[in-house]
Amino acid sequence: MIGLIDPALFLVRPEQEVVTDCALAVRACQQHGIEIAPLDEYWPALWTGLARELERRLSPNGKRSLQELRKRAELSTSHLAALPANAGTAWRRGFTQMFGAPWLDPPWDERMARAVMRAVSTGRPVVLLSRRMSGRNLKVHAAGECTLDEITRWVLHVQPTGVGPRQVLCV
Amino acid sequence: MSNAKLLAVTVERFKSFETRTRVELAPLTIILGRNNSGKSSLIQSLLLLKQTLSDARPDVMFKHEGVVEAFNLRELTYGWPAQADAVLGPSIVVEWECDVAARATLDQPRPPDLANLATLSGVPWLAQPPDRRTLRTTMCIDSVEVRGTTKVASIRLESIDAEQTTTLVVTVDDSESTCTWNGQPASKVVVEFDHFIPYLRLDRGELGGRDRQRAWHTAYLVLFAQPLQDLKRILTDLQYLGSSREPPPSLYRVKAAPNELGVSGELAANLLHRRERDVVHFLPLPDLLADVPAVSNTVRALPLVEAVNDVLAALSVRASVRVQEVQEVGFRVMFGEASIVHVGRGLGYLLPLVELGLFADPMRFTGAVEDLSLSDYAERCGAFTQVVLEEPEAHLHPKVASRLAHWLVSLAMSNRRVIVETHSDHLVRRLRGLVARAGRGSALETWLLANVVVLSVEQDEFGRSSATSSRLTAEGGVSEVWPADFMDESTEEESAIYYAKLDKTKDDSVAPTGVVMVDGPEPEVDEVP
Repeated sequence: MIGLIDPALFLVRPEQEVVTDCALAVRACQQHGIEIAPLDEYWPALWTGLARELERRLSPNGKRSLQELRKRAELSTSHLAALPANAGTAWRRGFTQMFGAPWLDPPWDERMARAVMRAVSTGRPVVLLSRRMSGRNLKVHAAGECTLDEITRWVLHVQPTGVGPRQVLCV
Repeated sequence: MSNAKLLAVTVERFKSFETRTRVELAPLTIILGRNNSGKSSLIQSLLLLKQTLSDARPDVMFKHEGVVEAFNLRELTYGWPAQADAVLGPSIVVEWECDVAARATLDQPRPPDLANLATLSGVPWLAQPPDRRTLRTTMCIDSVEVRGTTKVASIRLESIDAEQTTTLVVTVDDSESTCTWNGQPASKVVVEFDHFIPYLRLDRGELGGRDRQRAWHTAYLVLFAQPLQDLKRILTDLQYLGSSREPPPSLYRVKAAPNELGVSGELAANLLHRRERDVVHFLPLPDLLADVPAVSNTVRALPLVEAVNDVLAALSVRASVRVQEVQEVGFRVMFGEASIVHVGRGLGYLLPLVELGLFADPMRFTGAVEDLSLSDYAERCGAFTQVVLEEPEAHLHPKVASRLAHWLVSLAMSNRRVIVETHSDHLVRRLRGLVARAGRGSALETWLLANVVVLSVEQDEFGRSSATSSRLTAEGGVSEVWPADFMDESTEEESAIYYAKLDKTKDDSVAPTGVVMVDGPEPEVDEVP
């Protein structure tokens, strides 16, 4: 199974949240045999554009958790074919909801669509290791002292050329 | 056997430590910190006491010549005070624990009235003394320089008990030393010194059977006399190995079997030569089986040379060591077929380190040749050896430096108490790795969490040192304070390399591709998790 990383994981925020989310992602990779694919479509931008800024603000402990996640990509055995010229179709709504403004500025929707398409084109199952953010892919219902989390984006839709529609789970 | 062990050392006005700083000494104490932060000063406080006790003259109470070398006491005193008639010098407190034979000590020709003894001495448990009792004792040595001469101003002993702490203070004077027992003067008690260790004497003929000074002296025999002997043994037997080594000769001259390896390990070859076939005991290094550390429960008994080779192999050193006699001339130390002169410098550094750990076996060379379970070994030892290592990782390959962590753990689990000053992130990382990889609740995890202390020593902008004590966490972290800069460097460098690599790589993500983004309704979802 191929894993892609939600760029929102690397938005600047409290260190403990980063550490917890990274640990969850690493554990998911270990338990489910997910290979994080460092695809050129998004990986360099993910680290140089977002993670570098976040890492500057973290303590050594926080930095190490980021590095652990990065190392998962170094362990990857995925060698994926380059994206062809007519790769296929991606449904914008999901990508905009997850990677558009205001969550990511400038938006990452097209970049992530290319990354997802390339991963899906391999024919292997693909998941997005995502961060839940209220208003983006999470709606919190409150009643009295109870809250109920509703996940509002479970899948991203793409259709590689010559293949039927494919869904990428946002886990 | 008294199971005596050092528990803590406190320094004040000692070198870069201005204020009173107490550091706990665990079975395995790792001291970290930048250069010139004060790490070695903590070790030197113990070495100062050891070198004082090694002086042939018992009237030398504070010796600053030897491993710890200073022109005068003020050189060892915080702030390097100027010369004056009287200058307050460093204060060093050692804290230790030992079992004392309480009832046997009181079994005198004229046994004391125990109830009276307990009341007058202020030590309630002496009313019903057990056969054996574990005592925690502290000794504070206050030094002073008087008109250029180093002196001990006072010795303060405390026997710390949950019920009552008993205090004995000896004030040292040129003409006569005086003492107080729990603040009350003991004028009839005569104080004699073995270096800085006070011994109290009392002419009982002068005093009545129910005299309180008689009770104090009897209580001293139980509370302090044996613990002081134990402290002397701990400090005298303290095994120290510094970070430097002398170049090995191609031929060694035969000498008597040494009692120590020397601060530079210069006597390691002689020890190996004289004790080659004599048996030492050691716990095999924890191994990583399928990435999970496994610890043996059997303490092995092997001749010294075989034990050294066993440990070297476990440290991933392939060449085995042997002694080659050169008839009527001396001997050579060989690694395989090569003389120690012609092998890598790291082996010359490693050999004394391995030997020292084996030599620190409290049951060394006693003739006990059978393997023992760890608990049987601890019981038969009845003692601990204090080992102090400075930068044991010097000149070692990272893999060997990592494996050193295994060696230190196996030593500390088998009646050696080890203090290590290190800059090696490999060593510390492996220590963290061992606890992280040990099964939750496993014996190794439990031991590491309880028995490893990480001391972080730092110096502020005014040159004042401080120490913070932390323990490992089950996840491989450090509970209190992560030593500033330590291991951050490798983390930072890893990231810097990674980002530099990405910066040098062309970013293909901006290239046009054939993904068409459509705005229409999304296909139906097959299945929502």
